[in-house]
Amino acid sequence: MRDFTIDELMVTCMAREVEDRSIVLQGLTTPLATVAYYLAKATHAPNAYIYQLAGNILTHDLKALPVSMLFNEFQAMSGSLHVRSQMEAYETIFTKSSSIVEFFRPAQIDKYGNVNNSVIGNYESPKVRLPGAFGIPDALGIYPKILVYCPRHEKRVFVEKVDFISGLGIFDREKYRDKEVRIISNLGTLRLDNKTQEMQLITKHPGISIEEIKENTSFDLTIPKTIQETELPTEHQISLIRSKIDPNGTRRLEMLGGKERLSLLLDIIEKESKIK
Amino acid sequence: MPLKEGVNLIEGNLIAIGGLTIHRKPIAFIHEIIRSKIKGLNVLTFGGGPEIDLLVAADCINRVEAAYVGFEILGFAPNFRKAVENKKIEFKECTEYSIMAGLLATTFGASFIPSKTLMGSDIKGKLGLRTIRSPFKDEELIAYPPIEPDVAIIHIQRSDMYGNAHLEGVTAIDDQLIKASKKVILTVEEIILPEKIMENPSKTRISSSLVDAVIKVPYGAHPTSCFPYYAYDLWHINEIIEYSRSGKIEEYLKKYVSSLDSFQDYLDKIGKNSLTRVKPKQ
Repeated sequence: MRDFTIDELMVTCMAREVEDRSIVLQGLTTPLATVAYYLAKATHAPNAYIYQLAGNILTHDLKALPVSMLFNEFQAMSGSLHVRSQMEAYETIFTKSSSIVEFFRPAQIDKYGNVNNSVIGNYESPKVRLPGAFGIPDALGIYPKILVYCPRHEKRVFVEKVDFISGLGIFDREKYRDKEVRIISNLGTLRLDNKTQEMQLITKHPGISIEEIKENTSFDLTIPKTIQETELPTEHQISLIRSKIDPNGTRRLEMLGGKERLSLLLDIIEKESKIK
Repeated sequence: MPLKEGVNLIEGNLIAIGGLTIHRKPIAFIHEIIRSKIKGLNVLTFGGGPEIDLLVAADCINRVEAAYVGFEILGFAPNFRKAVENKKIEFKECTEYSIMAGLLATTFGASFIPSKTLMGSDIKGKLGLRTIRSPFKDEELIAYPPIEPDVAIIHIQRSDMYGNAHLEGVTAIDDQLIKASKKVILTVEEIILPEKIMENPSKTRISSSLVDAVIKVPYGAHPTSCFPYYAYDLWHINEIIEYSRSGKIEEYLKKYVSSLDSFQDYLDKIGKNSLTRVKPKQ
């Protein structure tokens, strides 16, 4: 087996969703998705537009690399040819929705593709008040293809029914027959089809069993008769990720939680504050 | 105008704060609000961060309206989270578009903006949004009512003494907040001559005709960022989290805000080392 880590496998899966000339919307401090977008642009999708909140990357020379955590905004601006307001970004969402690639990370997702980033528990007396869903609820109603990434495929994330519908996954199946939800997790890739209304396992990552994926999912997954293994990253992709796009390993921040994440974050920003 | 005078301009039912999460938050102004012991504020912001958390910790807030309140990669805004869970403050959970459409309704002079966004979301019900049938198409639309803040407080890079201003980096919805609010207060890193503004008027994103006060406060967004002057100080934001976790946020507020006379005292306390490590490297 080639030498790669699970975050790198997720990055290559996510990059495959970007097509040449896709309009990629990049949120703030979502390093795993950011690395995936740049990988796509550095390989099969050189003409993709990366819309960052800090400006539009319209260059073709990947001037803005490597990805930075501390100087995220500076990195975005250094490769930018245009700065736009949030309202201008929404104008693109409405007019070019079929070209948009944007990965969301929900705190909970259920078998209908509904996502929750609002509360755990009862809405009025929550066990955990989460930071909020930002523009996810708005975008889900507009995008024909909903892309989700879950770096920690666990029962508490893949729930039978979300505690609160921040954003609706599949709805009005007559009107939106082609709408679909695609999920890339640290265990495999899944898909919710608006025709069948079933969440299906599509591929499993190397070394992961179907049992393991079932055990970490609260609802019944549809498992087709033959399950392929997820396509592995190429040596070229791995080398680009490690040497050019993300040498400091910001992508790993999303795989970790609590103290581990904080300690990696402090390492990265310490390094970044001293570079050059 | 000194910050102390700026705070006297705060009035009305809804105060808007510019910036986004850990970017360009008017922290110097927030410190002055805390020192002035203003209570019961209703605050609207697109994505809230340390400014909301400190206002909540200092008990200045009655209600927060936002699409997100958190510290990005550092996670929860601890005091905000606790206050909502314990029902000490009201949180009106919005989405990006619900805020933007509300501001748009105000600037368009419309009684609502119709949109397909948010259909099926539970947030729609919590916001009490009503729907309307399209007169042209067979579809049900959400009617977003106007949002008109009484005062907007925005920290930006630079302007002239009248408030003709540049806006760089993460712009968020500050242009909309400025247009829709009854009164606008800018805190700025630098005040430049009107001649400088005239050299390149295409760069002017904010017109002085919409600005009521300009206050110069270098580093005025610290520990949030102000591109291209400085990045966010994640070390200091983490210090806020650590004080909060150990139940000592009052100590933080005393040490960095209430026992000090000015924002300059705060910057002195933070120290040169902290302020230089968030400077971009050339």
